[in-house]
Amino acid sequence: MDRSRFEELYRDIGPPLRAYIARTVDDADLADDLLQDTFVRFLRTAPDHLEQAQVRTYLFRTATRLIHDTWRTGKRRSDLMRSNFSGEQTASFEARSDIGHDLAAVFAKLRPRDRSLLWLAYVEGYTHEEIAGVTGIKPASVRVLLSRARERLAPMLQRGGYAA
Amino acid sequence: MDSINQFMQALAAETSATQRELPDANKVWLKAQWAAIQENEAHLDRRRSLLEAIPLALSVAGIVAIAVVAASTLGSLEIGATDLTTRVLGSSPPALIETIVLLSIGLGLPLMLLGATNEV
Repeated sequence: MDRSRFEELYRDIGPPLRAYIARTVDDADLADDLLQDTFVRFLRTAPDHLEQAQVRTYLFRTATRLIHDTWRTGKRRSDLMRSNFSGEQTASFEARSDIGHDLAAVFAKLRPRDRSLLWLAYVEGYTHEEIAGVTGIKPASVRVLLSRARERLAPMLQRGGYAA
Repeated sequence: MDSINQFMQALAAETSATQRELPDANKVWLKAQWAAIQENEAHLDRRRSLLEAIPLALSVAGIVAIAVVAASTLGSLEIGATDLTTRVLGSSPPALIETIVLLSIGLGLPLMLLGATNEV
């Protein structure tokens, strides 16, 4: 891939991808590292001549794998690692100036997998099949897990005054 | 569930508005190039290790071949090559023994020399 094509992709897909990673790992610095690793891996291994939509899916899938790898190997001591996907918010969200406060704080209370699924479904607008492709979860399981994620988020929104 | 959708859209908007600058594209590009160089070096190292192992293997093969020739020729083994062939085949075909000895000398010596001089 030539450099100008890469820069174009980075400019287009970088921001939404970084937002997805940041919301999933709940750590801005780790999100930056993972974003770079995702693009580096993309440049090293992605097949040539992918369509723009395929590139986007490829990058989101790679980022999701890297997030899981990071959690699994425990290389970084972020909230993600400390909570061990238990869903507990372990650090002060307000301390991170680059991420919003109230909404993000509510979202951060969810398990990372729930955050990932909800983000892909509602922000990226992916179908269950597409989410399955990105996360490696079976489409039928995506449906169930997404439903459970909604069930966990709904009462939080009510408690936070975001829902009637 | 509509409230979830509204919440997620608001969260996305908030995230977008408060997101800091992306890491420099140049840095990412150079990181990828550097990773490629390291990968190539690792590949070359593996090949180098393999090539370095060949002379040793050849030396061992040469030494073994010479040992077999010496043993069978001098009769220093209790069961020499001739006896062994005779036991396996049930007879002692002189042509076969001769071939083995000639092959051992013809291949063993050059292989040993090749290995010893590390010229591969």
